[in-house]
Amino acid sequence: MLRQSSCIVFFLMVSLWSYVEAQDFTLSFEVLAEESGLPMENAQIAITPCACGGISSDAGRFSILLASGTYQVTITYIGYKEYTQTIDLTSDRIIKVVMSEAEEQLSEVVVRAKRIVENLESPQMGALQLTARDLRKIPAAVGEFDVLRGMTLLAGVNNAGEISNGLSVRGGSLDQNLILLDYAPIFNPTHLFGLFSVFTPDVLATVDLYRANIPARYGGRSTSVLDVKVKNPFVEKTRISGGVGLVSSRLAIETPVIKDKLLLLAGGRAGFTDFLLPLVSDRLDNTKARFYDATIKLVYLPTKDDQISFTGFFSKDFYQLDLVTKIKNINAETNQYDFQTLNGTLNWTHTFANQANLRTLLISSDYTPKTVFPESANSNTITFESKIGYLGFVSEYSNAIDNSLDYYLGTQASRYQINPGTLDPGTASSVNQVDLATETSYEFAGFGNLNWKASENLILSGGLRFNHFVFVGPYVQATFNDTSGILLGTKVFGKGDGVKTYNGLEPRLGATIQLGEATSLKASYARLNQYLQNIYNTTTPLPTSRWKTADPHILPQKSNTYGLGLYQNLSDNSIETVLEGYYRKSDHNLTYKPGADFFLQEFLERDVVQGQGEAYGVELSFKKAKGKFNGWFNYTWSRSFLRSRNEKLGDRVNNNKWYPSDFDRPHVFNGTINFEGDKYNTWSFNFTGQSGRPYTVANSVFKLEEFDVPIYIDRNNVRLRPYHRLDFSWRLAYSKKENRRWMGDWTFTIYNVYSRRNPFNLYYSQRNGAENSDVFLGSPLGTYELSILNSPLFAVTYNFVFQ
Amino acid sequence: MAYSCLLATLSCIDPVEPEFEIREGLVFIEGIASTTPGATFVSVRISAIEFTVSVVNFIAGARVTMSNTVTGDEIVLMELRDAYVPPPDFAVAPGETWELDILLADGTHYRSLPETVLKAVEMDAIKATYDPRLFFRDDSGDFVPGHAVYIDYKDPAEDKNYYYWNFRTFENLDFCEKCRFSLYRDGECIANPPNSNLRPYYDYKCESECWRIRFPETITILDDAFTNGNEVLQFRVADLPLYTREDLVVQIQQFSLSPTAFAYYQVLQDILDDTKGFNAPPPAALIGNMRNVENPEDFVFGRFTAAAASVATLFIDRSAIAETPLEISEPVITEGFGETPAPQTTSAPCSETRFRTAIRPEDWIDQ
Repeated sequence: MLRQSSCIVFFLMVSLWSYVEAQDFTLSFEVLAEESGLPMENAQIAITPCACGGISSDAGRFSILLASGTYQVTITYIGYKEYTQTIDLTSDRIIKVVMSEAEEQLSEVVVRAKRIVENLESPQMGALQLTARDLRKIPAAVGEFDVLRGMTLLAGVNNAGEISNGLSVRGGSLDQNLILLDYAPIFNPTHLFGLFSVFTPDVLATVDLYRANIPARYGGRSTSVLDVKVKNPFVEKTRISGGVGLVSSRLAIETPVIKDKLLLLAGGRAGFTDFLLPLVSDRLDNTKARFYDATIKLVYLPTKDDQISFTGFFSKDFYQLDLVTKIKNINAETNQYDFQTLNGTLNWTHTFANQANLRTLLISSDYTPKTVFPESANSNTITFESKIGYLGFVSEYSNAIDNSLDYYLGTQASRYQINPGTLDPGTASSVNQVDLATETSYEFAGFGNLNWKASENLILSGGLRFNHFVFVGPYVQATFNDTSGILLGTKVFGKGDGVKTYNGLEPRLGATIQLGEATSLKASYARLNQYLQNIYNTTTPLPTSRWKTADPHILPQKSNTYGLGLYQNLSDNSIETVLEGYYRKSDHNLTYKPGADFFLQEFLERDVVQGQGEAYGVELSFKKAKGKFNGWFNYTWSRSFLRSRNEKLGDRVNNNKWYPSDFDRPHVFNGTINFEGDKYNTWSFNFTGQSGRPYTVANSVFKLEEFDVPIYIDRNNVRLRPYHRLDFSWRLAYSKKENRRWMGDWTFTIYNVYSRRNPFNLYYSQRNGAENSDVFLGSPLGTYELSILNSPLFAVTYNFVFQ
Repeated sequence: MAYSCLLATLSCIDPVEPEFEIREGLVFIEGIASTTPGATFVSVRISAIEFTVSVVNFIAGARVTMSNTVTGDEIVLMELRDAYVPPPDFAVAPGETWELDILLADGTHYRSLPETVLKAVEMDAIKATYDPRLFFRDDSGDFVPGHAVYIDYKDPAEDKNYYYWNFRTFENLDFCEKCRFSLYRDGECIANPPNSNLRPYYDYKCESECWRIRFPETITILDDAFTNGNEVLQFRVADLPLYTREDLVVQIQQFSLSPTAFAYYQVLQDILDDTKGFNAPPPAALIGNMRNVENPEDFVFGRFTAAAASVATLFIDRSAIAETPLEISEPVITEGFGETPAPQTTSAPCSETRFRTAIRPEDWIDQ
């Protein structure tokens, strides 16, 4: 009996044990990408000790029935950090796993160097930043990822239209914006007369735009600073990236040259498909358009406290275009534009024991525009060449005392050497050799800035920059009879003689008041002086347009900018909203006398009239950086005015009354939406709409000889039709295979989706018989509207990364 | 190619209705003092709006005089056909300095700055070459065939020279009048009598030899800044579109301008020719050397220019050109006997106007 009872008990115990052992639970995973919040398909899930697992579905899900127990789960996905977790499975469980992108496993030396650079190069207060990732998402014309076009989608940033040789920031002119590439100034930022930016796409890290509280370390332009940074090649393995497009193809390589010592980044782009243009239209027979750019960056880490980097940049263009007005007084059938930039930046950063840093920069920037004039009568070419040579030295000491106080102090010395132009006649006997004297000037600056967290709710930033500008000989100072224009006399300055000096004290102030968890109020003030300007009497300058430093006649442009902004983060900080207002008063803005022609003019000051400027506006922005849907919207209401001050009636612009500047756009709306449906598809839409550019219509028409001549008194008295455009791009990662070292994607772009004919220019023309009489009606003059685009632009680009 | 239109295509230029912000009361003065007798004139006009339409009216009744600032000679100009003209034999000479003075009937007083007549530079050679794609024209959206005219000249080394080129072309004219839905009677086209069953137009042969005159469509100027003292070869001074295949004579005038006159023509060139394209300069007020004596703030447009010119002519045979001319030639229709009311008319005189002359041009060759 006992034995029987024992058997029953044993049986029951075994049964119970078996029951407990055999109880199964469902273990489920939902795998999401941290950056986008999107489900991750094909994530590998390995579970021990059952040696089981699988891959996640397209919804990022994976479920498995397991006996209760303790399991070790490992989730991997190429390009992401490995995820591991120990799970005690005693009931059904759903585990949400957020995978973060893997950073390359770098050595301690490189990690330290990287951290120092990141600290030093983090954007200052008041910067608008676009990262290379942001820029890549923006649908771009003909598939070219483009810094300047990307910036125009931000509040307060605009340009002269589809063709624009630079940016206009808050109503300023194109040359009032300092453009830097790794600290070296870029004098001509575009290829092909403004179609694309010159920056080599694959090597860029960040683009910061300072337009309100401009840090004291920057100076020399009166409106804004666009600071473009090249990637630091902190890599352990070689990485090659590139792309092949309709207009250009590009390639970049990042690689360690000597492990933990010498790292290299090199990238280049070339566009040379102009031979196809005559297939499109025989009017393009005479059109030539080729461009190249290349960037190299070497980082050398001699000690753990020192790093030395060198950035080199080269850009070259050659084009010939019918729609560019020919240069006057040269007997040639065509004008060919050939220009190049060659920049270099040597950067030595030393870190002290207290984590303070001393950064020393040697900067060189050479811009050499040429115009080539093939002679009508023979094969000779006449060549015009000019040059801006910039040399700069910057030394800056920075230190963070503690979390509430940091500062930097520095000095900067710059030399500008401008060769206004030489004319080489070649074998032409009818043309004289012309050599205008090289103009030399120096700018010395001392600057400092202190950021102080005065309390939990108040951060103050105070900066001061002092500039001492010297214009030196050789120089011929001329005086003219105002009425006849006849030269009255000259005063000659020898080489190195001081001709004119200007001093400028520039306070830069900022304050941030934290009004709550997610709300802050920011105020700023900046004074700036501009000693170098681009001289051009058109909407957008030619690449060969002349540059001129301040001299005895041309005074430095000055501006005072005031800003006030309310910043509010919504939805758990996922949406950033900004309401910002500004007012800028400027002096000595450049306007030009009627008929001004600066080509090889020895005394160009005769045609320059300096006036006043005024710009103000309010910008409202929303930005959602993460999530399946991300992007931004902004609306700007702003005005920008100019006023000339000229005694002589005929030289006045708008009779010396305020008039809207070429960059006056009262209403601007930009919207960019990215829909990252899954890992393989990203759809992006970009819409921009804005008031048309001001232009001038005539106040009367008189007959002169056989011409109907429009007579103007006003300037910019009407506007072109509003500008609006929708762009679309679809980025398709073409392969789902894993563990591939080669990753590629196709980007399909449609620029100007709905074929909007946005006017670029409107001009009068002499009427020619009955042509277009149904449009021109009884008008003595005809009018034509020039649009750069009249249809959607389709483009496809293949991009790849190999590592 | 994706960036074709971005660079330059035809379809991106469209005609649109012209827009103006007309102001009344703007005064435009055009004064030319020439070294050629009969070519000196002064025109004074004012803008107005009449019945909502913008018009430009000649200002009559002004006292217009030109005075030599050195000798003190004063010439009174007489009103003739919407202009003020001096005696027919009047001509200025190089080296002289002249001033224009205009006193309107309402007392407004305008005066020019003194203008010195500079010596003209002679042209050494002239030639024309035919180009089926002479230049591109926006209104037709196509290239225009025609001749480009080139000159050679020697720029004087001792002076600063500013040039302005003008030209006239003379084409033989067979028919001097074309009356549409009308008949040529008593020196003008008179509308068809009601219910008459006439043809849409009638052509009337010229009663004598006659030439049609055409003028430049663009402004051609040059500053000798880069050519001073040199022999300038093959400088393109005129484009002659192929309006017809008739032979023509081109008469080039090469003016020597003062610096201020050149500056004025630079503005004129900017306003008329340089407005297209990507780098158009902003429009500017066309203000020369005229001013309101009592009110210096008054805008006075136009200019008084005293200049000497040299002349070169060239006969161009266009009979072998294959391209289609720009002007469409309609079939000739003349009044048939009994078809039209008497007196039947088949010819019209070659009346002398700015656009037509019966005076045989120099260098004309009958073929």
